[in-house]
Amino acid sequence: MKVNNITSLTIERAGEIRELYLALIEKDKGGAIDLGLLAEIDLAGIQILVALVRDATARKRDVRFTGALRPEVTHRVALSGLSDTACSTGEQLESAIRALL
Amino acid sequence: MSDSKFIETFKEEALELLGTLEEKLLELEEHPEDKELLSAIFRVMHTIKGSSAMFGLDRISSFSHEVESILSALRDGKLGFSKALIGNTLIARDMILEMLERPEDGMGAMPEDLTRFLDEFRDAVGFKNQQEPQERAPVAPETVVGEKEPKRHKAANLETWRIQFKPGKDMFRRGTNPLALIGELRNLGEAVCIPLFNDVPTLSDLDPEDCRTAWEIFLTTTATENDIRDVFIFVEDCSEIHIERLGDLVDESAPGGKKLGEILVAEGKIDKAELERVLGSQKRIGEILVEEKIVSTTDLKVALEEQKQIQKAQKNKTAATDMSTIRVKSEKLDQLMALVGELVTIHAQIMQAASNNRNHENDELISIVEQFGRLTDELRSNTMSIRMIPIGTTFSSFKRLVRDLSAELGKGVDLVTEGGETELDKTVIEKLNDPLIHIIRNSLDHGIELPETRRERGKPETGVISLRASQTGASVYITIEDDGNGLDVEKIRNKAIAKGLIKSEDVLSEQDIYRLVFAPGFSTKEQVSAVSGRGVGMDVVNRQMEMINGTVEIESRAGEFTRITLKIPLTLAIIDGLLVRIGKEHFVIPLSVIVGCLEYNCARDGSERNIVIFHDRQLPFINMRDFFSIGGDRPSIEQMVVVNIKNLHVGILVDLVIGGNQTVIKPLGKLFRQAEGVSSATVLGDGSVALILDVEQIVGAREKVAQ
Repeated sequence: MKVNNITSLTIERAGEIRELYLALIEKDKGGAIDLGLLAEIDLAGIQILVALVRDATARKRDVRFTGALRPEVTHRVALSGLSDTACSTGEQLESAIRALL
Repeated sequence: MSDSKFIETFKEEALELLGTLEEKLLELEEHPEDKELLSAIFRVMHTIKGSSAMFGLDRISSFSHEVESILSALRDGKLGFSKALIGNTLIARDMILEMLERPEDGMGAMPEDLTRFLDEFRDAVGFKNQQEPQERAPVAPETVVGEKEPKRHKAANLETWRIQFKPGKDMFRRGTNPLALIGELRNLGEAVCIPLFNDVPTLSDLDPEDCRTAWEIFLTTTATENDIRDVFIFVEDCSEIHIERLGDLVDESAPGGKKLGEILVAEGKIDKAELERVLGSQKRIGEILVEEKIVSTTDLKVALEEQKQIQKAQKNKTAATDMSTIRVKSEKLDQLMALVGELVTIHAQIMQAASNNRNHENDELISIVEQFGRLTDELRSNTMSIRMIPIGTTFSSFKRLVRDLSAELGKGVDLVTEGGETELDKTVIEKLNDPLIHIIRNSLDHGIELPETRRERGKPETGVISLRASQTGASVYITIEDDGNGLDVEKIRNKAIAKGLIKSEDVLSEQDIYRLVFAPGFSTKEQVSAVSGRGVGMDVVNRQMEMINGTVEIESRAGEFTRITLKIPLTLAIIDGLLVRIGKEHFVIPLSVIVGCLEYNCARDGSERNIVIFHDRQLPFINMRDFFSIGGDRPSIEQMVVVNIKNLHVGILVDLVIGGNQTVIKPLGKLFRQAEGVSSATVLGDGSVALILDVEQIVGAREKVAQ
């Protein structure tokens, strides 16, 4: 599995994806993560993304979210209250997370 | 209460809700970015859905549920705003209204026409009604842990709650989805949810199966505290949950609510000394606190939201005390008015009887009767004020008419209203609805031109119809004006000749020609359309105005405007009058038009031109004996009642002014409706009848003669 191929960011796969993202900021020194294929996300998944942004910032790694978010992901993000307005892109999601950290 | 009475009660509430729904949809069309409007619209549909289900009106409930789903998608950002959405929701609202008219139509499965409409609605707005799996339907959960059916909402019980929800670390391991609980809370009302990620560590330290997120939630809902606690019923043992009513935090002595710094000190996020230091600098306190890392962005966001919610709760608290209302059937009000009217008449009779037998023994009786009269007066005023409602409610209902009709006719039209706060008796307002609809329809169809025509004439493409209301004395004036074609005098005249209403050699003034449009069946339109052209509209206007003792006047300029002015009595019920005598007969002059009284001595003051000097100015007067052709000897000293009609002072010469009179208005029969100079009648204390003078008509008639 590659960081840009993730289709599901839920509790079932959270451990696996955490390892993937950790490798990105430890070994690859950061990079862009395309969330365009992400079809489902839950709170565990949102937490992973928050922790990733926090960790990357602390390590001064450049991690960016890109891609157009699918409606289901936008809906879940909105439900959690992460953003006042609907996040329809990875960039918007990243900004929303950074605003709360 | 029997089933039918329950349904009647639901119907009354639902009608009110549907009225609100229409109003808010039209507002949303103008302001699509307004989230509060959207939430309000969603809540109305949600309430109708729940309430109709409670009363077994399954068809209405299912239909509302489908529409609610579409609105929910819009609210959650899954659907974009579009005119098609507003238009279809308005049609859905009309359909619910039709089902309400016949409650039996609200029961049972949905018929094909409703299902077809819903399919077309969804297609038009691009909504896919997917059936979502259990834990993935947080906004409208079908089966979720601790699910409760939406409660019946009453707008009067809306409260704001602050909820602090910190799920336990093992929440995921227990198989619970906190987002589903957030979704349930959102279902209870309007919620602002602020996630707190303070405890989410870096990725390297995070155990992905730990739940580290908490929330600060501000929920405005009609649900009770128990309803809110029920959401967390299965997780309360492993979570920290704190619920408080925000209204309890409202400090009524602080008009602007708590300041941001005060909230942060109360929360323990900063201390007072730091607050004072920061306030000493120029920047906004929040910016400084975040810059100096004294508070986090999240803490600030939560405090700002709390401040906003407290201010809102404070405003609502003030509004609620002003707006507590009770719904009363208008028939009960009518009965009350009738009884008050009888009481006023009886009082007059008692007063008359006591005065006729005046001696020192019944001075006390007269004093008591006078006291009784003052109480009756107050009762009368209070009862009448209950029936008075602002005409703005009627004006608002025309926005939909103008919107739909102008779209149908391919014309751009703005409806401008003024004076909506002007109050009228409820009965009068109800009777005004039809005439106003007819006049506006005529304006839209005959008056306002097509955009191309307006462009050619150098007018803005969008026409304007204005509705204005104002009160002068005992009358309300409602003006409907459009900046369209104006009335074609020649066309009207020719049509009237063709219909045999006038002869070709008849000489008529412009006003007289305008009045021809009131004839039944009169229309200058070549073709009948669904909007107008049958010659029915203005006839209805005229007849309705007659029924409420009102009048209609038309002004127009070809190619520029048409202005129709309706003059309506403030109330059909009781007025303060001045009882006068002319010859052997008694008459009443409405007190609202009277500015003064003076003596008139014909021998001393008499003039051929019927003019006297009043307050150093010439005052024309009308001799009412001449007006009504009342014979007999004139008294040597007469009384001049000075009235104000359209800012013109005129004297009404009578034999004698008797005194004030609480006048219960009785309409004249059909036979006497055309009698000049009188509007209605009243019954005096001795049982005799006094006619109530229509002073404006009297003055107008004399002006015509003078010309």
